[in-house]
Amino acid sequence: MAEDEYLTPTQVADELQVTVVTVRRWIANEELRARKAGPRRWMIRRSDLDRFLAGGDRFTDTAEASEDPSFSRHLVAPDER
Amino acid sequence: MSVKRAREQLELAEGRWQDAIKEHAQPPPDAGYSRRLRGLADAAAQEQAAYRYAEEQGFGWRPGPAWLPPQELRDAPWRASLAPGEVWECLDEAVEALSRARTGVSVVAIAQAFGQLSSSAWDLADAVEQRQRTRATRAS
Repeated sequence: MAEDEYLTPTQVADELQVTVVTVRRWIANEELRARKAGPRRWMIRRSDLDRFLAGGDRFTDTAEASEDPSFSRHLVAPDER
Repeated sequence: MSVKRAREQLELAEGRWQDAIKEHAQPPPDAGYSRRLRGLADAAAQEQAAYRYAEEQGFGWRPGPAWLPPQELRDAPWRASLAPGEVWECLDEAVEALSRARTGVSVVAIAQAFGQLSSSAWDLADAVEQRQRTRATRAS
């Protein structure tokens, strides 16, 4: 089953076209759930990656849906993280 | 410096995106619908690039409310007369992905969703124009 598939950070990086450093940062920030598979070795379950892309584990109160087309107001600058 | 550049790109992209969305405020669609869809597709592509760059610079995402598209992009009876159902389904899926991404925590999900919306809006514009051409040919 696809949900049982495990990916390395490199595979996730390739799939999302980001760097491995970025994937490791998501893991460190607990934005992307990963499991330790040995010293310096992390594995990401496909279902956890799907959840991350769909909205994340830290899904919070979404309040009412809004027609407001502004997206950038939800960005958090690097020095605010 | 790169954070500053990311902010500048986001400001430009967001302005263009909001302008494109305003164009879709009122149903039903008129003869300019495919042009507006292409404007939306271009704006979404610019947003995709801006958010991807912002993500590379370390920006994060604070969950916001789900996004409701403007009237002209919502499901309506007139849709079937403009383009095949599967093309509309792709657009609806892209809108849903963008809405869902806004409630999440991932900037890369936002960038991907804008890319998906750009692609589906472009395909829909093609389909609308194709059907217009077919009708014009039959009428002549």
